[in-house]
Amino acid sequence: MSNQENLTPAQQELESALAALQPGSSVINRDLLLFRAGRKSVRRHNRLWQTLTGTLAVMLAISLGYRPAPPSITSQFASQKTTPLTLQSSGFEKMTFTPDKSNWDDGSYFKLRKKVLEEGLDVLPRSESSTGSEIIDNPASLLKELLSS
Amino acid sequence: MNRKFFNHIIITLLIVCLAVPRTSWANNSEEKETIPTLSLTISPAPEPREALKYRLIPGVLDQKPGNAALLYYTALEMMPDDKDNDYMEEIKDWQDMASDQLPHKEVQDVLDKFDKSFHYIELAAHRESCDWQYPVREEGFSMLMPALGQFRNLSRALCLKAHMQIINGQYDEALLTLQNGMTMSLQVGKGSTLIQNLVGIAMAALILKQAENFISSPDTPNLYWALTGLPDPFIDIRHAMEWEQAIIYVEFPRLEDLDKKILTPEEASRLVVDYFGILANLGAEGKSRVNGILPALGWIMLHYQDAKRFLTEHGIDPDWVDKVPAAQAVMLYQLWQFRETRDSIFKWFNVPYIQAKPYLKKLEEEFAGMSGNLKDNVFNAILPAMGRVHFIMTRMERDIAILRCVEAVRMYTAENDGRFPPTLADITTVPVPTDPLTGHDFIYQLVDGKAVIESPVPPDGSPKDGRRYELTLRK
Repeated sequence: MSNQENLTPAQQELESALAALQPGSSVINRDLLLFRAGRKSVRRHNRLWQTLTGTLAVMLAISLGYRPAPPSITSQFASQKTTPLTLQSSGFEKMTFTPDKSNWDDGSYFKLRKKVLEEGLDVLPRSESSTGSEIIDNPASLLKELLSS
Repeated sequence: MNRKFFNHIIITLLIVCLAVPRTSWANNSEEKETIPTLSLTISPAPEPREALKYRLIPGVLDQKPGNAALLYYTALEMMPDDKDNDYMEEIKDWQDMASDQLPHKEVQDVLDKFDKSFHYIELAAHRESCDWQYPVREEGFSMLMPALGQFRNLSRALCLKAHMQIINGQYDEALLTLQNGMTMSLQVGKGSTLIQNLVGIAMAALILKQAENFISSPDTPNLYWALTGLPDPFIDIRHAMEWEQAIIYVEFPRLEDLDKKILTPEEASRLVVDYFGILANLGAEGKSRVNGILPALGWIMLHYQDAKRFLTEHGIDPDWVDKVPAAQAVMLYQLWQFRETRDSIFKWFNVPYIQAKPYLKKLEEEFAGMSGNLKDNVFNAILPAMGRVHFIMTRMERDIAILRCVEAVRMYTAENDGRFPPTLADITTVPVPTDPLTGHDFIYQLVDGKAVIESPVPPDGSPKDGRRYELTLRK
């Protein structure tokens, strides 16, 4: 509360001028400020490895999934008309056999070697003799049996 | 009775519980400290007039052309069916029995069932060559070797036959049986794989036990030169070690020129996944196994920086390293690192055991500290545990050498009115071999009228690795 009696004319003029001033609108949005401060306080993640992993995974998936068709080879003979060759079947078909060794038992060299070096030779398997069949050790009797079958 | 009292009781009981087992263990370990001692009653036996008359492997004139392997397989086929009677367990019990404890008739009945096998073994042992034709080049680690265990059983049966022949005084026949058995051991053991080497050694060890029986029988001829004529080394492990070194490329040929080309990213990733698939099929254990593409990716990333550093340090152009897919760089790095590790072990098998021993021990300690985690080299899973292999091969040399020593003593006694030599240096007719496990002379002393020859327990070995003979002269 001003005490006008104690002010000089200049001071009174200043007081009036100050009283005429209006407060301006704030340029800072409090809520926004708090939000941004909170966001900044969260620890930064190092996104570098994540980015690299993701990129490599995407590239790998693409390279495995997308296989461009092999370039087509235009035969120089394509324009010629030829009679298709017909092969007489000989009754035999060529067979290829690639066994799935993952189903084989523990007799593989690697597994056997590991067992023997760790546990000794007593772990060597005792192979079963011919199942059920009688051993024919006489060539003459074997021949007789074959000829009579 | 207060709490303090019960605390005292508990502490006392704990101390007693800890002390009693320790005492028991101490007693047991004292018993176990004894080297196996074999008492042999020997007759003096001079050097044969024809020094090389007696042989433990056939001479060239006794051999015929042909591949012994086929005849050995026939011998296996001729073995009696063991399903019901379990002959092999009986044979194992009988082969170490003294003559007066053996049920002679039962033993002979069992041996008669092996007649055909024994005949084919003799035919095989007199063939010039033995080629098992194991498909190691095509099959690598997947190779099957089902018959090896049966050869060991066949050897036991043959040893029992020799045992009976010795007991019955049929020394010529016994010597032929020992010759057949020793030759079979050599031929089974001479192969491209470690297991064959070890089986051959085990079979020969059985034969040597019967050689001991032969030597300690009345008036048997001196076998010094027969034992000396055995191959030295008895079975050379180096050929098998060559294959152990190379087998990674048999199993995985794509690794051979990995540093000479740039794979596509797909080829490189497939390389990793396929390798881990092979490990899984082999049953190779370890936490370094990964299944599937994404885990393989993670494994690649884990090692990539190390791979780049390693390859550039090893002289690879950094630009080339940057160009190749990460998977290829990591596989190359792991492969080269594995080769360094592998060779650091394998090289010692070219050096005599007593020289290699301290280095192998140090390596063993280093590898024992491996943690088995993802950072380990993935190829190490296929390395064989070589801990005792060098020792086992050399122990066979020791077993032959100590028997030669016994025969040298028999020679001395024949030349010196039935007296034992005061020291081994007093034997001058023939050289007395040294102990290959120590590099020194065998320990020799006269104790209460007996001659004691000893091969001490090697450092870090167990008592059963030592050997002691107590020789008594037959009256």
